[in-house]
Amino acid sequence: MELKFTILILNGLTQAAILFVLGSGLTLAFGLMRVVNLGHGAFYMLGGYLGWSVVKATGNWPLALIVGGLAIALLGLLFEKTMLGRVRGRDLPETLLTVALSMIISDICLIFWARTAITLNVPQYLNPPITLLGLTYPGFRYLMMAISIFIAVSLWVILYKTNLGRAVRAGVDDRETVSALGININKIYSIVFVLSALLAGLAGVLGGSYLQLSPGGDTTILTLSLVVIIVGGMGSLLGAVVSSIILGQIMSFGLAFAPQYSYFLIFIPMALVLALRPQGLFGRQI
Amino acid sequence: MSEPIGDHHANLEVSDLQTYYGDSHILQGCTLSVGQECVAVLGRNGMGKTTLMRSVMGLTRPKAGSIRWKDLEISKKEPFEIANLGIGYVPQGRRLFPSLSVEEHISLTYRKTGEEEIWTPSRVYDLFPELANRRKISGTRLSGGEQQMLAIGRALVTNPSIILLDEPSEGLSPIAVDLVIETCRKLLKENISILLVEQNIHVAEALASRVYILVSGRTVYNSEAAKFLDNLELREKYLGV
Repeated sequence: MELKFTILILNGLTQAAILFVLGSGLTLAFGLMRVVNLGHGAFYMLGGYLGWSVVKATGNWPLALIVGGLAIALLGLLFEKTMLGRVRGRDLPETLLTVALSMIISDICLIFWARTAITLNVPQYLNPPITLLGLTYPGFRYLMMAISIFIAVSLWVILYKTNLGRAVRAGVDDRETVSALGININKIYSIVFVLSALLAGLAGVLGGSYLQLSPGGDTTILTLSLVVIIVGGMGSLLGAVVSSIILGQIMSFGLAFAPQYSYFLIFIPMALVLALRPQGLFGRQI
Repeated sequence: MSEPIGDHHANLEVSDLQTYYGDSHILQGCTLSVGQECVAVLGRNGMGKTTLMRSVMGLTRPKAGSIRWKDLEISKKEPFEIANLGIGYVPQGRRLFPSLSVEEHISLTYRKTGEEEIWTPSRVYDLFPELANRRKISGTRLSGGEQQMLAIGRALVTNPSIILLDEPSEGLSPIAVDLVIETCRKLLKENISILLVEQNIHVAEALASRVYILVSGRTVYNSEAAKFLDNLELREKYLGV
């Protein structure tokens, strides 16, 4: 029984690893730009599918992770430069643009990839059974957690130890004053949006290797990422960490004990947070 | 008030500026010039003083008129470009960043400008020792006077040749106001020009060599500072003080 719990907790952490990579990108972009990228789920899905194709063609999973991440980062850059940047500060056009993009991406995915659910093949050398404290668990899942922790630490360093991060945080507070002090805030926006897209692509490859990629899956993923940032607090990196862990555990235990309600259960913390602390666990009042 | 102004050494020259907020016409012909000096723009509340500052910084784009900075037209430029041309901005209410510590405020905007580099973070800390002791705390947890010092320091490390000071004395104790005045005098000695917007006539009196009066978005009067400030009739007419 105890063993089962430990495994469920580990499953929950694996799930949390994916949720964090997914949610951190969205929360960063939202925190600075005040635009919710409703194409985030589609970015995830396209990244996952591209990764799947790379694995199928080469069998090289690390390459798939890099290709999935960079391709979506590039897509994010093009989208931001040619479209999103033109309607900056106008909520409705911004949101509609991201919705349109997500529809286009999901249709493209339907054309190029299977209409059935697929999962990325993880090579055996990345997935050795690892025995820790008398418990054997797939090594690939530890790898996912490690990647997620690495990403969290990198983001923290960028945000708190570099001038780019200072500009991002100052921009969250008061973008006008930042620009009047000689900082090109539009450039900062582009960088953050590209970073956010990169994270969505990486999350797609990670998630596609653990869960399934299926047509229409982008909306489920978008919902999950929105729940992560609503619970954690929009714009808060620490919030994304904590809420990913909470939601990961709920999903894991829910799947084990009440599978028919597992999707529904994640909305309970969201409802509680919205009722009691609308700015999120670590968010600020807007 | 549309005749050209005599000072040919002017660095900043604003002429016939027209600025709107939505449909409301705020600046309706604002003309002034600033040379190597402190120029004060005075006027009652709601006359467009802050809008003037925002227009110069490019934060509120003027519809017509021109703003020339060292003979370069800047009225169509982005705020960050204007700042990088050597115009420092200390906004009304200071507008520090709650997420950033004192130190981060200074390092965020610090720009090395080659051989002309004068204002380094360490020089700013020398100028404001009280900031040096509180480097790690959030900028918005400082006292009002210290916050104003930080807002000035944050602008100084961009190494500007002019600083736009919007109501620097607002909400400060008399002692802190004196500190602001003293600081501005040091900056003037370092050949930094100042464009000052004030309600507090005492600050303008202490610093300005020239004053402009803004009424309903129009510069209706300008003269040497003393000439205006000693004339109680004019003060009463334009400022009610």
